[in-house]
Amino acid sequence: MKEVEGLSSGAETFEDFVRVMRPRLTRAFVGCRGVSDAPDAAAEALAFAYEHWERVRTMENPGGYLYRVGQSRTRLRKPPSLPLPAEVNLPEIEPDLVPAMLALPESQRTAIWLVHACGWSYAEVAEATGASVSMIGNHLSRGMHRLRRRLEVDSNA
Amino acid sequence: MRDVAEQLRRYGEAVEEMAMASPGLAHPHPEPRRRGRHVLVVAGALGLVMVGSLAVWAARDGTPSAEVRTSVPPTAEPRGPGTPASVSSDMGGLILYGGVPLSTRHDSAVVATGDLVVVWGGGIEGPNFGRPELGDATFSDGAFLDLASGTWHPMAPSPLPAAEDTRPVGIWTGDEVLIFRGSSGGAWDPTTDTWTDLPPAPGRVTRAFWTGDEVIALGADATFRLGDGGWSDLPAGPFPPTSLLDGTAVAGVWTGSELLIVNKSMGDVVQVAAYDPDRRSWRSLPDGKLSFGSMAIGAAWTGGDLVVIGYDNDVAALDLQTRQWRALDPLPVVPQESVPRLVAVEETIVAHQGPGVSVLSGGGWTVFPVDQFPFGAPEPGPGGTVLTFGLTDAEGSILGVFDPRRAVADPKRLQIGFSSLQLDDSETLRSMSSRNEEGARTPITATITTPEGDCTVTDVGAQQPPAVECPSEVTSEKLRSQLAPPPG
Repeated sequence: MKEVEGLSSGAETFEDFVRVMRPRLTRAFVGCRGVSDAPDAAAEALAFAYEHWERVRTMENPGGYLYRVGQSRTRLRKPPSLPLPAEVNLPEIEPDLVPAMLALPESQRTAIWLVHACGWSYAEVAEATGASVSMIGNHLSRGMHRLRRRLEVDSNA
Repeated sequence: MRDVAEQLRRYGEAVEEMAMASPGLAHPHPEPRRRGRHVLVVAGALGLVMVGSLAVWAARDGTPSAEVRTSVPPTAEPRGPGTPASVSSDMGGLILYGGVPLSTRHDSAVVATGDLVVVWGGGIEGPNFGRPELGDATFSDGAFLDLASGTWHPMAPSPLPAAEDTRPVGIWTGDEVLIFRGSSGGAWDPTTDTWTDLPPAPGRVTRAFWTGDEVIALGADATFRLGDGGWSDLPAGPFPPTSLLDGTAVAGVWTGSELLIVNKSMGDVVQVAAYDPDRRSWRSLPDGKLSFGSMAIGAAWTGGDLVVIGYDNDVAALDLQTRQWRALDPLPVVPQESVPRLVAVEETIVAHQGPGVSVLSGGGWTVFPVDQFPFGAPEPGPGGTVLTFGLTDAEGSILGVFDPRRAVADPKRLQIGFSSLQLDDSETLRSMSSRNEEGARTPITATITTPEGDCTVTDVGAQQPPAVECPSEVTSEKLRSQLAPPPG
């Protein structure tokens, strides 16, 4: 798994913080808000960080916290709109990956997206979603099993 | 490409590029936002990086403004400054929040959303609580505590009818707090302090669980999906419908993938079944045993074990991997005619039963005097805490936020049978127990380590102080002087 340079940004200034955090949050929000709304959610989260910078800058995991902020400030009750792999110039990726992801329960989809598509650790996902680490592992394992079954790939893939 | 995880990683990178290329972030948003909210466009702050500008607001009318805002923007949080909670703590690991802007009550729905603790509904039977002046009442209002600022805020009036005399049930979906009372329900949005009426449930909701996608409601024996989903009947399981069972004999826990329902049937048998909401199907799990007695039970999920407690303080755990039951140390408190309640904080168990709040962690049980806590059923709180809300001996209702793992690190006040024991800095709790031996329960005993050696403090019944045995009579006398009968 790609190691993401800690969600604790280590940024000295808000500008540095934004530079590091904006792409991470945007990618994370794509999984729950879709490509079109993810920038809004990231903007909401960063706006909160701007308003509460003295508090946010000392957090161990501001990314997880801001993920929750962005989620609560931009609500959506339908599955996110995600482009097909071919639309992002990835024809080698299974075309069914996106519909298979969208068919997952939200909790499983969120865990899979943040861990595999965004490279977050279980602990970071737990912080971001308010669930326990063991529960994240549970969501991930069940979700990946369903994804693989749907995509008919080897379960060891 | 066969590796699903690798496909996801590459797809994630590609959609990040696409999303980051969205023009919405690089410039003030030219249109009113989707929900008509004021939104701070962080393009300004981002612009420090990209174009050197400052934060810019997009106003409700969509007119871009060049005004630089550094104060808290209109975040669609209509709450005012709130009223500061009176915060107190006379016990390690327990913080009490008073100043609740609600009438005195108990049996409220208490729900943690992360940063907020929501208290809604409840009632009072004043005469039963020694407060006849309060009379009898059922309430349909609520308030929430912002833990970050330590302030209470009243909630907007709810759409739930006021007439039903039923304890409300509350759950957090990640976006909204859902409150059910009887068959009525409402969804409260903490970001806007607004309610949405929910369609009536097909029965009285006694317990509710959020799966991440839907609500499973016991009592109503139904599931509910937000949006246009509505209510659906829960498929028939191995038990009779929960609406037909004694409510105190049924407990449920959500494991993250299944709802485990526990039913204390007649005799000493505990039946367990698991409902998988993805498959909409049930599976049976092995029966367990608790001592014969009242049917009331409580249950909690540790992440691997289903832990069940009975009225007689028997505790047993079912390992879901091995499907094996095992007996745990019985709760060392005096049984009372009440419904025992359990909450798990990972592998730490908190039990609310009898004259104590008990914590089972690696080293065994620790029992704290219940008079330190608000009188109310424990609910899961934020950050590994447990919440209790209700009456105390003092005026009004109060919210307790209890960190059990911190509390057991160095407990200084213990409940031993009917008495409490105050330890000083030189004394520490070694163990508390009340074992089952040949079908009989041994007396509740605490072993206290003192500078002189270990002492035992043993409950001998309601009418007498506990027996104390130490290496010397001087130390025994000292410990006896630290004992106190329960208030009242």
